[in-house]
Amino acid sequence: MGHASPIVYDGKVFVFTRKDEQEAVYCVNAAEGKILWQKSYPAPYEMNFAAIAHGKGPKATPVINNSKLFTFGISGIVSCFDAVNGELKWRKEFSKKFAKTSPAFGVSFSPLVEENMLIVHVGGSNKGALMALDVATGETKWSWEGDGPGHASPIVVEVEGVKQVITQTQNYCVGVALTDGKLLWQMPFTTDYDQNIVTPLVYKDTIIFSGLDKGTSAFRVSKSGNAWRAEQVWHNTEMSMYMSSPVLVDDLLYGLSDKRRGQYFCLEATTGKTLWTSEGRQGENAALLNVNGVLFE
Amino acid sequence: MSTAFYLNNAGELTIAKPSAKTFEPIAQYAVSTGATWAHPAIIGKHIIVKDTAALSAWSLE
Repeated sequence: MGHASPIVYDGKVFVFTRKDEQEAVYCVNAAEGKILWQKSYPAPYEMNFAAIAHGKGPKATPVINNSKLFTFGISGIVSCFDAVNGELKWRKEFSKKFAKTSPAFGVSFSPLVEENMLIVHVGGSNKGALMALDVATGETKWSWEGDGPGHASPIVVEVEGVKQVITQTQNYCVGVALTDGKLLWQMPFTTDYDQNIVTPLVYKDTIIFSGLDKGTSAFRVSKSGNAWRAEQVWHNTEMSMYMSSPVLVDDLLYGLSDKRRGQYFCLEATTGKTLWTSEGRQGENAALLNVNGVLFE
Repeated sequence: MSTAFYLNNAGELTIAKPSAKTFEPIAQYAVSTGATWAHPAIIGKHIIVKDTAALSAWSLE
């Protein structure tokens, strides 16, 4: 169940899923699908009426780092498991801090680990915090409370020697310093019904953003003195992505536009020019992968 | 060499050759009868597909 993708680590497949009112993690052997361990915990959730057909998640893909598996459930529960045997290392939830613990359509921010910190955007509509949690204990190392969470996932990019967490929040595209959580730059970015979903992509020295009816655009982030700014390099108004995030292969960006009931497209990442579009009706959503080393004749 | 994998939400996996000129599908497989929202994972010569009911492995050879 759910949108969370399976991940592979140490020759095993880790699956974050749901069984009725519980969220569950399975570690399975890749060759036969045999379950090596499983853990579950209560995670009741009321899905937004408009998205009932999508189920109750979980939506955020887990991450594994240094034999620790981190999950971020649809209602905002953050857990750390030993990837070898499934032992729970720590768990955090933020219902005391925030009235809502998930955005409009549930947590779908796939967390990442950088410099021994787990990056999560907790809270819900209009009030939340992008946080860095200590991977060993779950303690908060920093917290930026400038906006509620969106539905996109974050990336970490080093710009002018400064590592920054770049993501779409509820109302902005932001760059927040990885070391201390300070806001470096932000641009207003809103989509109907708070559907900021598309994960940003790095291409050379630009960051590419897209969203429902927002087209696709590239920004160059730079610093002059102490001031950071994000400056638009190109904006393609023809191709907008909705729930599907794009991939890059060399200098070309491949994505799924929501036009004509799903249309694959390709654009030039240096200029934003549309190179081709496929026939329509490819799907409401598509998961795109750039797969290396698998040859098809 | 890169290959583009597109798994749509109807369980159709399309494998395409990256091209600047046109959408160039090489093969298409039905890998699920349920809804597929998750990205598939690649491990060795297998592709792991998660749908609303099950996890399945498909050979890429």
